[in-house]
Amino acid sequence: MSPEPLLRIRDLRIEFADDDGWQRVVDGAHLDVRPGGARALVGESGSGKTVTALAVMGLLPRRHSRIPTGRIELAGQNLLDLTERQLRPIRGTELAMIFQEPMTSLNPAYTVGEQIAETVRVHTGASRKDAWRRAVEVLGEVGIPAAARRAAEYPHTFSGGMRQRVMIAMAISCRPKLLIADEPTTALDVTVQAAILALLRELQETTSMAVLLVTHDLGVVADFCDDVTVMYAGQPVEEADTVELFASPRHPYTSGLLRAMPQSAHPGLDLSSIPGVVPRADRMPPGCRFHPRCSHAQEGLCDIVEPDLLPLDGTRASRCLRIQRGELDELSRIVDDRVVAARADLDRRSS
Amino acid sequence: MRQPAEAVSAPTEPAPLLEVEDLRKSFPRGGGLLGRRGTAVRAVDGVSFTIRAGETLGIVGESGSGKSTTGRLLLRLLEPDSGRLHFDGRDLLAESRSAFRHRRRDLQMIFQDPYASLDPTKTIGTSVGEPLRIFDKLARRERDNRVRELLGLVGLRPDHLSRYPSEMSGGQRQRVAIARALSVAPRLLVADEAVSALDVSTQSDVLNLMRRLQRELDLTYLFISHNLSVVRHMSDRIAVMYLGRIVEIGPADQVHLEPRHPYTRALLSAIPVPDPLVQRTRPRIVLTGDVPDPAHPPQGCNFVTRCPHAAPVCHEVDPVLEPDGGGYAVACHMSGVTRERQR
Repeated sequence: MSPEPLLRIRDLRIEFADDDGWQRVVDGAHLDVRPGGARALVGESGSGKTVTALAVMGLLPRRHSRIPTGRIELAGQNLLDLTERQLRPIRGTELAMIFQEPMTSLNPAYTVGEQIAETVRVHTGASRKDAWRRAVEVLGEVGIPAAARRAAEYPHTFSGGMRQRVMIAMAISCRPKLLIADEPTTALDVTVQAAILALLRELQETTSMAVLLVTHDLGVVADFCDDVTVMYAGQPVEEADTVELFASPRHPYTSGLLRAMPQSAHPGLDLSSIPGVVPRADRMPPGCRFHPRCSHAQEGLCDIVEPDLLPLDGTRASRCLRIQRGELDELSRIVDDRVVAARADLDRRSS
Repeated sequence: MRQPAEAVSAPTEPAPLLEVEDLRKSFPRGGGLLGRRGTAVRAVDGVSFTIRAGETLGIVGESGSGKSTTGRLLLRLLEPDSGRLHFDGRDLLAESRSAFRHRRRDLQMIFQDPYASLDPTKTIGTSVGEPLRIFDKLARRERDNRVRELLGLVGLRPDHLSRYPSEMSGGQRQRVAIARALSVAPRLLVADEAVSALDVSTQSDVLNLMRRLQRELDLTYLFISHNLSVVRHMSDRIAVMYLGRIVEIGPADQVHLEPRHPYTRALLSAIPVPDPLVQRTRPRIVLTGDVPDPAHPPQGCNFVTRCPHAAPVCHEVDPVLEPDGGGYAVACHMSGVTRERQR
């Protein structure tokens, strides 16, 4: 069996308060991140992926949210049992997080070096001098040229890509075991995204840091992650090794997402889409939450029986009743010319 | 990159619907607290292209490439500093701005965020009917009938007429924006990041709708996006922009499969393909550095600071967008050399 997961989330429910009471926005989150591994948490807007990530960091808004059940274990310790005071030293040294908009997470009034050094001092008790030295060192590690000089500059003098590097530098300054990255490249240009993903991969290799990558972009998942959890309407619907997920998705929602990508249809032909929208937390349909949008939904089954996320063969799990019964064979059809050509090339070389 | 005098167009074709020649637009920058004059940012720096009736030209580029400014200049939402714009043989810039307002019904635009371009206090019926009131002076009842037709055309229900934007999903709002643009029967539609804010499952719906409308209504599209996969799917031809200029333009599959400009190659290489086995084994070109400040573009070729093939000439001479006679053009001193090397 695989080694003990570094992060283990089980049966996590998260509720937010609104005018009508408590709305359950995450209902049974379930995922593992292996030590040094990279897990993708994928879903569209409203899937609950970001809320799940914030819960791991203990960053949910205190007064407007609650966690009625569930466990978030980091190296065996349930973070939900800890007080804010006990959690604070874990954040930074064990856990760190980066966000989509680096500018909103940086303080414009302090130099980037001061902000990183402050993080280091708070978490390690290092002296000012040592903390500054460490700040310059990590800025260099994340590929910021002339790090010693740049450390003394303010965030607004950095470009979007460089700001994200600064955020990564701050996050890794105390060598966390798990980095949570919430859409870290979504606001960046694609050439800059490629460089940031390359940097994260390199940091993973040199520091054996695990990454939980929250994203809506399946291309980024294919590039970066070993394992994937797909979320829909607050629940995980599929779990798989990345290669297996793309080769043969085992939930109609996953296959719908793959087939809706523009790379999945020849230019000139219609793209496949998923009709309808994600249901609101207070208007979840009975049975399978995806069934009103699912072309494979079976009357009398999917609209009545509430499915669980059940293990299939090997490392996979699916929340689809019909997949669990062996009634569906889902196939993704990526037909992008470059993918097809490169695939053929791979097959030729391996045979 | 001085552009050649004649715009780049495919050979042996009827006169294009839109001809853009040497279009330029600078924005002043700086000023600051002390009122010092800042440097001008050349957002669009000599752009030429044509679009034939019924075709889709895609413009792809990253932030600061000038792709959105180009779209706005065509509709004179921004006034060009110089250049020529011919639409169906007419010189669009010869007209005064107020006279042009009436022409604008031929050219319409849709934007990334329909929530920002639809008035939240007005019903869908009022928003979609507004151009009909202004341009066609239609009375309320006629207007409502026409709006219902338009809503049907974009796949919405007639009763959506009385809804407000906040009651609709992102995909539905983009359909409303399309219906509104189509209400005045335009011939050219400029779509600026029209699906970029949508989730992938609804994005494909809107793209399919746009293609269907193009066939049914004989529309011509300028499709602007940072997403090359989407542009590729929608376009007959693709123009790639970098720092205010077109660096490469040609048939979509050629640009996508055999890009000749090093920037286009890097851009394609940077887009992750949705197949882990392929993505992890294919050769990658990772560009070093960020896009230069458009107020201070480098000497010589705009791309020279990030180009893996830069030669001495690239630091000195600005390359021209050179048409190859077959409807393809690339602005690179080294494109011949790097193509040889690639084989």
